Amino acid sequence: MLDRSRYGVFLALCAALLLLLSACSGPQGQSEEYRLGLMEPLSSPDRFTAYLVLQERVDVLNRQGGVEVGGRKMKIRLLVEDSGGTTEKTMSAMGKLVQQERVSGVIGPFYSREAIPVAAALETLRVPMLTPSATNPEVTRGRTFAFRVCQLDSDQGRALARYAHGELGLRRAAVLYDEADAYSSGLAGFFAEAFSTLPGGSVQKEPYPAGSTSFLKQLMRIRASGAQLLFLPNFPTDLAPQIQQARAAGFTGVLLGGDSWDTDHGFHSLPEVQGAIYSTDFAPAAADPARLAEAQAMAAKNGASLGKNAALTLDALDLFIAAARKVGSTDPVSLRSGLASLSGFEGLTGSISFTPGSGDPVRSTCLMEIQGGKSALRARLNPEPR
Amino acid sequence: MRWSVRKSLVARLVSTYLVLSLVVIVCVGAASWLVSRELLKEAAFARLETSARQKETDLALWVEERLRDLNLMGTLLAKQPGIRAGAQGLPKPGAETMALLHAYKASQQDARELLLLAPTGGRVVASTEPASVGSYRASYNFYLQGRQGPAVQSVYPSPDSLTPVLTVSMPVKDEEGQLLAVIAMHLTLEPIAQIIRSRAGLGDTGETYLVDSSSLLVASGRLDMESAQRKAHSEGVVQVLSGKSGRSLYVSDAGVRVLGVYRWMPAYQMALLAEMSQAEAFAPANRLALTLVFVALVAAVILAAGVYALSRRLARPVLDVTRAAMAVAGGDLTARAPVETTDELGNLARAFNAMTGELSDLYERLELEGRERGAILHGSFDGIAVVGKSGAVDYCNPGMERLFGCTLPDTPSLAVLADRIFTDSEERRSFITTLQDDMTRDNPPERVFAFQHKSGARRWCRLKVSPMHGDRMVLNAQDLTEIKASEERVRHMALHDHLTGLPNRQLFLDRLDQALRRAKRGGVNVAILYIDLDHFKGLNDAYGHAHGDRVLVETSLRLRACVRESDTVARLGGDEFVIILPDLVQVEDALPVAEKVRHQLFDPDSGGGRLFLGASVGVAFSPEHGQDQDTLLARADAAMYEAKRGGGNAVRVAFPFRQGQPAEAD
Repeated sequence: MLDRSRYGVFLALCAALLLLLSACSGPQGQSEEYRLGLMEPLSSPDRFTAYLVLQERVDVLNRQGGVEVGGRKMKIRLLVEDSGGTTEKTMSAMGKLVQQERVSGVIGPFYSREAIPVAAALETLRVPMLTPSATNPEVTRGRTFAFRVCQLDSDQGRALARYAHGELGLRRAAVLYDEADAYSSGLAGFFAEAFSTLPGGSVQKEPYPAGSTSFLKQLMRIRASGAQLLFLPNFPTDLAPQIQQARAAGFTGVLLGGDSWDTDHGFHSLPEVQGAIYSTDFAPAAADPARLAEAQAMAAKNGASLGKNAALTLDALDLFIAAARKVGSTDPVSLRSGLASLSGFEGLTGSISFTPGSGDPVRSTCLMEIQGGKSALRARLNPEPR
Repeated sequence: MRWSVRKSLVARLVSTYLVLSLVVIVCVGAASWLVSRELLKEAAFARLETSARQKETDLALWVEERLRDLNLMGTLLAKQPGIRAGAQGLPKPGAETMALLHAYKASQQDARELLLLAPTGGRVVASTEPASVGSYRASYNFYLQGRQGPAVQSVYPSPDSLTPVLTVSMPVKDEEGQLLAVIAMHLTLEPIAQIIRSRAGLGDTGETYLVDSSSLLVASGRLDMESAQRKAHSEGVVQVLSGKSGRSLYVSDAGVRVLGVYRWMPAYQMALLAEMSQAEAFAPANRLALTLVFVALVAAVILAAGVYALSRRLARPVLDVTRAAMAVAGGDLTARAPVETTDELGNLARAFNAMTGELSDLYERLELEGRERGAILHGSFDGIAVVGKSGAVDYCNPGMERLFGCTLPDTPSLAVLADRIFTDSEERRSFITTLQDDMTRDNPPERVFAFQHKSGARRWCRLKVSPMHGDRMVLNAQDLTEIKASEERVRHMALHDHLTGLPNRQLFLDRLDQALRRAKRGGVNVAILYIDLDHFKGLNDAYGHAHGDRVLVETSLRLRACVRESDTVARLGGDEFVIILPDLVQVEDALPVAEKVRHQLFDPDSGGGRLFLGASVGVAFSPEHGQDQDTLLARADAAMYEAKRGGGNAVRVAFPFRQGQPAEAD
């Protein structure tokens, strides 16, 4: 009587019960992709748009099937976090990218004050960080997982000092800087140190507290010192009042700036700033025309312009891809060795190499001059031995 | 196993019962498990939620307490002279300030660092950690907020200690409300996290823990990948970090199935999770279901034994009837089923026995009837056979075999029979078609035909085809040979003279009629010789009738010897004979025959002169002397008398018809 069909019904009943009792859900497998984090200020006032250009570049690469790593085609997944605002927010964003999103590497942050704590944390977490524009030496000093695309503040300060002393023939310099900002005070220090050691060189250092709006007290002292040049390693929000107040205070010498002058060109149209010279990593006139056109098209598509930060950010992505290709892995630790061993990488901002034991690149510097509201390439300074 | 179950009624009953019982047991077990699990789940969630609420309150109280402490300290610091801004706008804290900060840190193990910051620029002017002094906190939220009023900075990974830190801060103001400094305190979360993780009231596996916004387990302390991987991908953490609070069943980071309640606390940017393993929470449900199933299984086994005993009792009469039925099927009609009960099964046995008895009687009657029918068939003089529509012979009784002289194995079909009993192919064909035709008719006529017996003798048969039930036919055949023979004898006696065997007058007239008709059609001539013996009366009288009969017999023999085979010699009566000579080309051909007859009948030397004493012969021709038999016979008779009158032993030809006188012969 227990024929096949009745056995079947019985078994089906048991199976249904078992299914009912043991309904479970296993974890979903993650598809293989190259996950990269981007930490960038996304909220006002200093909102960056480099991520738009970078996302476009990633989309183009993914449409072509991704990048080949270790014999496998991998799609790139770009995870963008807001690094802007406060240190707490930056640290939380870093924690989210690494611990929740499990990125293989982090591009950013862009400011030294953000990059330093983040580099410290990523060193512990053993995830490589490649900042496009944080120039302070503290970012990479003593670390193995921190890299940068831009020039080092010490290199920048030294290059500016030599140029001012040699090419411009100036001897008395003054520096006005934000004492609480790592970039500002750092670059100020490197410049002062280099300039004061050059023959006949003297430097008047004038710090100001973060958040100041009036710099007249410091500027009056600078004028009194008879400085021939005023070095302003500050950010554009502070630069406009500083330049205007300097001229108002009667300073007539040369205005000198760092690469922060290249982040926002709004103040370049001020009449007081014409003739000023600043150093930067990226000059369109010095870039490979084909790559430049391609990058500019990607930027234009998203309504952004190809500034220094966007160019450095694109180079950061290409450096990460080159490193993954070189080691054939996207594992964070392998990726770090890949970055450290890159040499002669040709990017949009020029040739970049890393020397063993340092996250700072050996790279060229461009000197720009503001003329008629626009910046033009004045000189290209080759890397100097440290 | 399947076969034995199929063959045994008892096994089928017991196995059916067991299967149904198992299904019911499984259903009841599953239902009780599911229902109790659902109830337990609700209860466990309620406990977890209560616990989570309690821990959240603990956390809020802890933070509030630290803020109160900071406020008190700010008030104390504001009264110290060094706090006033110095030359560069920076407060210059004295030894008392440092002592106060250190004393507080020493008293509170959760205070990681106490800081005093300049009102502008964020410079650290005093700290329990000497390394921090001189550095800047301008970009820190706790500093920016702390300048405005009491602030709680939600949890973040501290760049200094690389641990999750919660910072409370507060402005230090003088009596006029002038901002003198900002006091801040980094709180390590470990102590509070340990308190939160205590398992009070959550059983053996229940736990409550804090996770920061980057899914780092707060209590684990160090910021490294190992701790980052913990709790990272449990469903509860994923849900709560997306900003949702709720509860669900999921697998914890340790791979344990848990019931979890999770709450997102936006004020601290932390999540509070309370979890308890499902195994512990649902253990009572498992116990209940297992107990139910065990008790039900025991009950099912006991009941199965009862079903077994009952089904054996029920099955025994059925098995007895089955055995008896199998014996009957095997041919033993004497088999009877024992009647053991008075219920339906007893009735079944009784009915079966009655049926078997009836069957036995019927079988006997049929057997007797069959034997009788067989004897009838066997003893019948007539031939009886059963044939199919196709002509195949199915049965053939001894009468039939006698009739045709062949047995059933020799003649499997009518076609073979036809081959054996007919030599002519036309006859065979006719025989077969006639029988086939008869087979299709309702009441076919009797068929009489001659055939060749196996012995070679020609015999006669009468045959009738009768339909039988089904497609078959009965052939009834009778031997007609004897009847046919006696019929032939009677017919011969009626047409011949019994003494001489010659055709008598009736046959003579018939033959003459036929000869005349033929002559008329064919344009040929017929002659008759009318013969009367001379002196026969005298011989009869002198030597007796026996001698007369001998004379007549001898005469008939001599007459027959004088003529052709086709000629007819007849005796008309007494001593008068007639010869018909048909098919003559010319009448004169008859005269030599007449003369020969006269010559043969005049033989005085034979028989001592007592046999052939001469004869008078009258000859008449057709159509010369008449075209009908009476005329012709009369003219021949007249010519014979003429010869007799002339003294006998002569031949006279009748006169031509118009002269009316007989012609002289010699």
